[in-house]
Amino acid sequence: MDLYPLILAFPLIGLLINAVLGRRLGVRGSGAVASVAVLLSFVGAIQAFIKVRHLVALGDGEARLVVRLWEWIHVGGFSADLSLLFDPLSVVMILVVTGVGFLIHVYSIGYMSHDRDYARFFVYLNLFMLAMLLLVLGDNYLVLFVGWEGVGLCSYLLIGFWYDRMFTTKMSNAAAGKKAFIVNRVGDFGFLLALFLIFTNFHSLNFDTVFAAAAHHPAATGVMTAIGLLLLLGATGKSAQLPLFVWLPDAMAGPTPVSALIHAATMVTAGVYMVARSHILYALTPDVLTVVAWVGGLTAIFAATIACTQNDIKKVLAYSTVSQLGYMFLGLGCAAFGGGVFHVVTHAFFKALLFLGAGSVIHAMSDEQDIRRMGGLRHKLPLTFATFLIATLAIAGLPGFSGFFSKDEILAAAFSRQPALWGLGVVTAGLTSFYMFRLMFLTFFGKSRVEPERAAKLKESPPVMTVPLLILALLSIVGGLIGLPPVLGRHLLGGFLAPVFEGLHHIEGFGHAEHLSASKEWLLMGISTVAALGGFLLAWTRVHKVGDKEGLFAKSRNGFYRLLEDKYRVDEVYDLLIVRPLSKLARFCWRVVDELVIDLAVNFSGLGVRLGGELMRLFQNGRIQSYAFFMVLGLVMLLIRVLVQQG
Amino acid sequence: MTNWNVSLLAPEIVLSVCALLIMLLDPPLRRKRLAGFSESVALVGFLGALFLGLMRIGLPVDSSFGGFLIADALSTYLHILFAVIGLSVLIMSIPWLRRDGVRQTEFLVLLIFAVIGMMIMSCSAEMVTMFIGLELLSLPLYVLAGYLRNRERTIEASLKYFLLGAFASALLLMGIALQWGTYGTLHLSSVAPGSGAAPLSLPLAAAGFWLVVVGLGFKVSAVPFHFWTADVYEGSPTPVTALMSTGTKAAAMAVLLRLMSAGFAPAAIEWMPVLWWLAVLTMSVGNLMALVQANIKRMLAFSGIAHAGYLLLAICAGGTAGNAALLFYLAGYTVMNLGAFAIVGLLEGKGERFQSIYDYSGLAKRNPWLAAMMTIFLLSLAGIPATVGFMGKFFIFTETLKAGHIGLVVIALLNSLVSVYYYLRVIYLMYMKDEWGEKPVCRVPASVGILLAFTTLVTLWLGVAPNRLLDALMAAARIF
Repeated sequence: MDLYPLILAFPLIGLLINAVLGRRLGVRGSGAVASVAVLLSFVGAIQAFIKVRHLVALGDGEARLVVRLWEWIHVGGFSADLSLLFDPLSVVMILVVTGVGFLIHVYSIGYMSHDRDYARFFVYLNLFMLAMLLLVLGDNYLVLFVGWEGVGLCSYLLIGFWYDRMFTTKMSNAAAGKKAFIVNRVGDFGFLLALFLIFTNFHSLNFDTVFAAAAHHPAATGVMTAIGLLLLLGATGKSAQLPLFVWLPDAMAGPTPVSALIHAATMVTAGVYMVARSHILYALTPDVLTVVAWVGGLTAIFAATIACTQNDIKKVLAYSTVSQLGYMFLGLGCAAFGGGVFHVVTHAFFKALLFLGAGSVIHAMSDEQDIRRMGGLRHKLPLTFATFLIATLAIAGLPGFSGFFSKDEILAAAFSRQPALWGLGVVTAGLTSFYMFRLMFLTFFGKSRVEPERAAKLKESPPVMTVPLLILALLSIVGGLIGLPPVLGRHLLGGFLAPVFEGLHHIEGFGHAEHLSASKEWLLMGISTVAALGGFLLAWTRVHKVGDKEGLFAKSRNGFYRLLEDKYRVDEVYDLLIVRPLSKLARFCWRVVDELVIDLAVNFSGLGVRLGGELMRLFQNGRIQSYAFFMVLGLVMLLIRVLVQQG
Repeated sequence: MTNWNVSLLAPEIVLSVCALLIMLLDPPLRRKRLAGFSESVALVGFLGALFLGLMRIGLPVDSSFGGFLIADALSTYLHILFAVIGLSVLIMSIPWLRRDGVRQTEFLVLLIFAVIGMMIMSCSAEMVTMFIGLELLSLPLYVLAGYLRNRERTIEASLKYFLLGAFASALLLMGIALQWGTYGTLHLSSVAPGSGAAPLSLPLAAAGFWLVVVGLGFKVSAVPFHFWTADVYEGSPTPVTALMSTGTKAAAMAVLLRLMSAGFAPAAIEWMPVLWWLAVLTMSVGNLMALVQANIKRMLAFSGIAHAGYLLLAICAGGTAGNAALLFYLAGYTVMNLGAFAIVGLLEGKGERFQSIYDYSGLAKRNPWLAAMMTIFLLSLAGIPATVGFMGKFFIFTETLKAGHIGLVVIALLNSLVSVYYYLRVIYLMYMKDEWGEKPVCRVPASVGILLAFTTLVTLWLGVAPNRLLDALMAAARIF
């Protein structure tokens, strides 16, 4: 039986069941319902994958399945259907979303076992899956936008899931959720403007129609550039790129499985997906594409430097996510659309693993997140340690692990396009390796700095949490094999995705990408390996060796270090330049415009109307004589008017 | 050739037979304790009339009794409307009759006769027949208004209604006489053309016309012929108020529509300015007065006056579409008003004690369903979207705008704005305030529950999907 047309139905049913019955099912029942729903979607995704792969193998025509659910909007010249588009790009995405999503659902059963609001949690998770699938599978920008907003909503709900707790001393979880939502709105605003521009210029929001129209009759360069930049603004919001990345680190207020699922593996890659989906529009405006590349490259190194100084295990991972997303944009910007998607896939594996591992540590540490109070955990949490190590090796890009291949592909593309960008990428690779091993050493090696009462309760997480870790660890090792560089073998993913990016060949300057020569390939791989090892060595000497000596965590006098620790004080700058002026303006509108001007005007006219009523009331005196008199008066006035008119 | 086709009167005949049956058989049967006999007969009568009215949909235009009666789509529509109104008022009144321990035989008979009067008005093609219908409607209402004859307020209402009504009837009759003297015919469709002169060029003809308008204006409670409305609505038993505010208004408005858009349409240029002022006054005074009322029935009375103003707007708009908008609004107004009065009737308690709007405080906690439905009716009366009240206003205002009366529409919009205040005040009290004083438990009889569910659904349904009814009414709006 084909499940893929029903792929949206499963999470929907799951969330309905949990919304109604969740409390009665208990945490296991509720979690099982949610997980099975996602599992069924995953099976549907696999079926869709098999079908699409078959179509790709046939090689003729377009490798895609379209499931038309219903005609959604049909107004005037505008129409949008709710159709699902299964093509190689969307199939790869849903495989990751449902596959990793399923593992995280299962993991959550263990992680959320002590929380009384598990039903609400699973409802949100399934709602997220629904929205994310809608985002990826929609065959037009409008459905994509619905999913886009839907995942944003779920992200908000889940960041503020523990709305009664404080995230930091200054910020409540609810405020963190709000921040994420509002920053995203800035991006969404750009996205929406882009949609309006697309519709006014191409009279459709359907991907095929728009891309065909854009390729054959492109709009004015200015308009195309605006569309590209506005879409990019949307993507920087959702995918936490410069300048809108500030929400993601604070999104860590949510439960850790949420960080893994939404703020690492899936939702934040929506921007990457959207840019990859719109590759035609970007290919037509090479300048914008260059902007994409620079945004990605700069974000990558920017976030990586911050990650080197953070002491909260989830914050480090959060900045590392921003940095890795930067790599993806770098890849997209260097026209390696397939490479960007490849990194989405591998990153989903190892970053989900890192977060789940971190969650396992936090769970074992009774909600402690500060790595300064950890250390030596590898003996107590062997499984978590082993899987976390694998993920670290993968993200650091050591040869053989999945991250190596996808990062390498992006770096190769950057090298052939703009060596400066490649330089940024390599330095970031070194930094990545450094901060990840720093995290590793501080958490799992050295002497234990765990507070005694926490240490007493320290034990490895239950199988429901560790089995997903093991599966993800396996994927983190072998996941790179689907995209080997030309010198090593076949790029399976690239071949699979080829039909999607077929349209690029018709655009000038985007013919078959010239492959680097084998020697250059080897050289580049060698350099990035050296960078990774360099990072490791630096961490070894500067963190592990220094180890427990005093002064490691002392407040540094180095101004740059403190700037990094304060995350370049971007939040403060935004607060000063945007938040405060806006809030001042709002206060002015409230106190002066609304309370003084509008309220007075409204109250005054209300008073006038009331007085009018009271005046009328005088005539309504209850006496029949006067009633009859007014009737006659009215009649007489009527008749006088008639006479005047005729006389 | 004179046509004596009696079948045109089938609904009226069925109702008359039922009324006679009740009168004849109720006294002997009552002794045998056959309770519910009269109600059942009345119910059967209204259902029969409704059925016969529905049967007539789509039949060609016909006339009978020498052209005194006309059966066109308009009269068919109004027959159906009046049957529904009669049925609803019957359903509302049965619990009331039981509750206040009032003799019911006469009540039911008078109710039926009043409805027959409305029906005759709606299908009369000629002024004397119309007048007979009007009197057949008015006389039972005078009695019904004072049905609780041991209650002072009711007597006062009845007397006021009777005296002023008789006065208005006299004016109307005078107008009819003047018309006859001028034109030699009283057929609504042919008065003016028959004379060969421009319709209102003769002073006497004009005076006659305006006297007729005043007589009808009294019934629709157009300002300044409206003074009776609040006192009478307040004093009358609530089901009777419901009948007056929906049925009487609809019947008189229908005659006014026939008059203005058939025989006197060519004279529009002369009556339009006056009607313009009538509409403005009616809307504005109605809304301003409603603003300062604390009794819910008085408030609804003035709100009814304001709505009569909106209906006059539709007559100003004219044309088939304008007429259709008027008829649509009439249906909507009827439904939401019936619903609102049904709830008022339920909540006022024995002896009609709880009629202050402050008695509605905290209703949402005491009786969430009633509060929710009352909210829907009030929102609809205020013209909030997704209700029939909004759609009706929308159609009327659009048509008026198309007819070029921009000023009128602006005033109407301002009026709607003002009206939102007093409707929302009740909603505010129901939801935001705590209960005020002790209230008896309000049980909703199944029949009234069904009526409320029906009116709520229609209010929402016509607010969301008005097109089918509107299309059907376009046929009824072509008046000959």
